Amino acid sequence: MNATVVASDSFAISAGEHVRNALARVDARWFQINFLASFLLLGALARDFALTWQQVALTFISALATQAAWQWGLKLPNRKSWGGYLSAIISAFGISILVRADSSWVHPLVACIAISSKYVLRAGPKDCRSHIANPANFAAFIAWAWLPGAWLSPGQWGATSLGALWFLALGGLVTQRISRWDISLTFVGAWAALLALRVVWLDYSADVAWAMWLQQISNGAVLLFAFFMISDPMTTPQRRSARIAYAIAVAVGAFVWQFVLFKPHGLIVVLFAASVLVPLINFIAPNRRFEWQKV
Amino acid sequence: MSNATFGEHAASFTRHAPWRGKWRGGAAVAVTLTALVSTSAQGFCGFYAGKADASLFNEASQVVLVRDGDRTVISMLNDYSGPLKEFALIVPTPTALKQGQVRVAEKSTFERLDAYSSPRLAEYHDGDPCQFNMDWGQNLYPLPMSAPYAAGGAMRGNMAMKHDKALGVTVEAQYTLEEYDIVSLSATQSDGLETWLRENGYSIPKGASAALKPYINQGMKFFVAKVNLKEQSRLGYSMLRPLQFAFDSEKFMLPMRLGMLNAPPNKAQDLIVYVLTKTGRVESSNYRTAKLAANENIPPFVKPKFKEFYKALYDSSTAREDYRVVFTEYFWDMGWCDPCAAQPLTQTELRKAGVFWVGGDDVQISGSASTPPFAPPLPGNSRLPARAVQPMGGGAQPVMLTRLHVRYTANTFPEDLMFTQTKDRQNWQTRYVIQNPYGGSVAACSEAVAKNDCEALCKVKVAEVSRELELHSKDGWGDFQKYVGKSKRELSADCADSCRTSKRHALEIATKYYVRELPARLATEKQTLAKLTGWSMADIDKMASTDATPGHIKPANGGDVQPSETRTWWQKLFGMNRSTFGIAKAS
Repeated sequence: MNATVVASDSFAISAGEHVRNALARVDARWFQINFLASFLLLGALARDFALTWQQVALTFISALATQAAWQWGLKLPNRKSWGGYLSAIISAFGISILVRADSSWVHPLVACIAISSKYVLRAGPKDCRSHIANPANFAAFIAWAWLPGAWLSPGQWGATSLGALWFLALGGLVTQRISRWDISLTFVGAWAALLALRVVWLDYSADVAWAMWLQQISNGAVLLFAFFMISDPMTTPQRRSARIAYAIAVAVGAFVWQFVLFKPHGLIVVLFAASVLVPLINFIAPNRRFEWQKV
Repeated sequence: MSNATFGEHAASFTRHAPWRGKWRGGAAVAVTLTALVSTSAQGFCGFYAGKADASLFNEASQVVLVRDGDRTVISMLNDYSGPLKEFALIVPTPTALKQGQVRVAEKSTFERLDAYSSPRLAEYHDGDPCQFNMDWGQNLYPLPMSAPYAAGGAMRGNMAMKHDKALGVTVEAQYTLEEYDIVSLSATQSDGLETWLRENGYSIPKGASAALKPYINQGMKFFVAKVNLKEQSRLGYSMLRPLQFAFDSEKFMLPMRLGMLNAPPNKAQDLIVYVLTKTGRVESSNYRTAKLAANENIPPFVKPKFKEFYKALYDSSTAREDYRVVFTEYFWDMGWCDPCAAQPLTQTELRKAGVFWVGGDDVQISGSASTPPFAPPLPGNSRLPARAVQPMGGGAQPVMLTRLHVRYTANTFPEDLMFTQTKDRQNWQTRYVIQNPYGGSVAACSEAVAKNDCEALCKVKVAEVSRELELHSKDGWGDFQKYVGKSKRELSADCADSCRTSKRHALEIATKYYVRELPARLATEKQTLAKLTGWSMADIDKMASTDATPGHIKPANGGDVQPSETRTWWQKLFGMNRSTFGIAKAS
């Protein structure tokens, strides 16, 4: 009997190690893709996102086609490998999860503009020259700000803390693997602290304050933002100290936008505005540019 | 005696008395409930059959929220039913409301909005499946545009001085507006506000101070109203009329939390918000907004029980989401509807609802209901118009109506309801469909088919065919091959054969319809019904076996007229309010 238990334990350990080793050989972006796909499915099936499968398909077709056109047009070395298209797939997932439209042309259009922005809107010092905007963030911003029949749905996730924990754990895993967990955690910490300060300053009774804070912080949109958007290594400051200051500044900016000025979509708008400053920050605090690589 | 609540979206509390008031359902009972109309439809393939209005939901508060930019007009309808001398209302507002920013609205506005946007039942009728169609001898001619069987077929559609200062309370304005005594207050401390309210004769519930605090800290002001019984009897009203406020605020929200003060933490309350905007559908930015399951086919026997059906559907939908979701019941461009549960609001009615961007920039001083801009006038009786009203072209500013229905408890909605306007313009409604089977049977069909005398029929047809053959044999168009070169006898045999086949075919289709399709359809509809309402199949089977106005429109307030350019946008909308006495002046 005991022998059987020991045997199965050792099997469990070796299986765990095996999985870990296998995971270490895969591009971290595959993890992002898997997680974003699960969130999209969760949203579409359990949260009835106002999204059609045609919109999702068009987003992917447009994002991949645009990426291919730029890769081949500029004769980039990654044009013939999977690696050259992973980020486009991630952007397509991000756009599908965030952007809502009452037509079918909005999704492919923002996908095309967002992907193209990576090749057109570039700046920064020589060693870490990169695109300025995170494509999914840029797509969400233009959809909300400029396009007819397009909108963002910040309440779409509902507030279920279980889902948030799941999200948090997976996001943590992914960001650790792409060495940008510092910005995610700093942002979540700053955002959580600001929301807590607000309910304490407004002097809600303890139970209401707690419920309110939990509802605000466990929003899927906050976690998606923290672990899949602001954590983009290409569009965040390259030096760690600068990155931490950047995360706090974005959290403060978004808080002011949303809770002082009472404007919508604070995170998306403020990150978009802040990303313009990243090349400048990289000039002041230079560091070697991040590169996607197999660990 | 503590069975009264502190209001719903706004706090209502008693004066000088212990709790005696009681919230009662039926804010909009005056709407004609029994209107089950089925008249012919135009522009809508089906029949409007019934609706499930707000009166269905006990303790449902109703709010009309009109918003464009920072301009906001809020109307609140309380269904307080206790003694009026004990009624008072306190609403946190983003700015202190001065005289002129408040008016007494009409309950009929809520009733009209409710009627127009209620969940609706659409009814369709199957055509007679028993169709004897004999085309023998017909196809000599070019085919007519439509097949004869399709024409009879069913259409399935898809669709508030010194002392005050010590308390930290400032009376920003105080006046009497028709039957209401109104005070606009700003406060710096919640204890002070609570003391002020008590000293001024309002008995407010325990814990009010704690609930008021966050609003004070947010810099919000308080609007306090009570009924002036003398004025009320002078004016001749006996019911509580809704109050309407206009103000500028960047906050697109509803202070619903204050209303939860006296409700037990797990007691569910209903709130219906009619949001009128220019751009698109409105949803909550801090809670999930979902659409109810709609556009489903349900069994025909549900028709007389449509209200029960919708209530059960809403009950089960909200329970399933643990009272954490805002449900969209309707979103439509107010220029039209299809099917219409009631006519769209007229420009005058929209102005009364607070829609400041329609009907010019100025208050309309009209003695009677003006001619509706979009639609023919409502019929004078309780029967509701059934047909679709077509959208009006032209440069008129659109009015979009989003009807949101929330069932919440103090625990599930810890934050005030915040909104965001999307650019979504896809019309959507909670519409349910019943498809009535044709009231025949296989036996009746058999009998009907048998009445066709093949012999007599063929005699005529053969004669016709023979004549046509003689006349047009050389034209070569049509399907002549079947007939050419045959003797009259052969033609008669062919015709008799075709007649028998047609009879058999008619019976086959009718049998298929009555024996297979109808029971299968009913089974699916029953399953849908069970899924939507949570009713048991046994109850549904039992049910199957036991099958079986707008109020007068008062003229808008007249009064002094200022040059329009010095008047605020709310003065242009509300006009200058008459007051019997007042401390504050209209700004």
